[in-house]
Amino acid sequence: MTLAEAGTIVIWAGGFSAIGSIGVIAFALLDQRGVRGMDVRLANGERLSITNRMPAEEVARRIKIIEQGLASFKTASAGNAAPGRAYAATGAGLQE
Amino acid sequence: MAVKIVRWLIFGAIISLLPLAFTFGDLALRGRPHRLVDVIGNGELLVVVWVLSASALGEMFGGKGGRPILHILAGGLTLVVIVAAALLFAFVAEAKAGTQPVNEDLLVNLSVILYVVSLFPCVGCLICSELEP
Repeated sequence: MTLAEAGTIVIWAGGFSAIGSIGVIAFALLDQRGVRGMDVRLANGERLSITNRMPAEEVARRIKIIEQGLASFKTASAGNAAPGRAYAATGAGLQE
Repeated sequence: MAVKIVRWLIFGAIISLLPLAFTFGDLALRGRPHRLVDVIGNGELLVVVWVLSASALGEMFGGKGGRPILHILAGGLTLVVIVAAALLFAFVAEAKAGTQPVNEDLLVNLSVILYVVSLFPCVGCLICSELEP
């Protein structure tokens, strides 16, 4: 294979990749315009997201997890336990 | 999302060119030939291309996980660039090791084109890593 042949392959591959990527970028940006939701950081470091794109059952399941975390937070506060160690969920914040 | 892309562009795409820029400056200061061919005539920019692309691809794994089809498309297109850069580098390395003639001007042009082109799938990967489910 000569350099010119390798170059032809590279040009075709690069052009195909660039054009396809522009399509992916455009679609992704348009797709995310209508997404609304919230993120909750759990005590174990995991992040729990809820968005309007999720199925209702999944949203309900995640809300239940957050509610359980908040309940344990209330219990810990009432018992004067160290909230930093006892709570299960905190830091709820809106995300655009 | 914008922060991630700008961070990658500055600390990835721009900073990775610094060694090549320093080489160019060094050659110029010493009064030696300092054309683009003298700096990236051995395929140095191709290494930058596939390292940058691989880092963007890695960024996509472990993202938020939304829109798997877009993940596959962006990842696949980035992989195409990585393979193209590796193919060209292997060709040049093999030719130089065998002391075969290499059209260095063509190599430089291809390297620059591939570098510019590779930014698109990389940005696509970064955007996909931030897609909400």
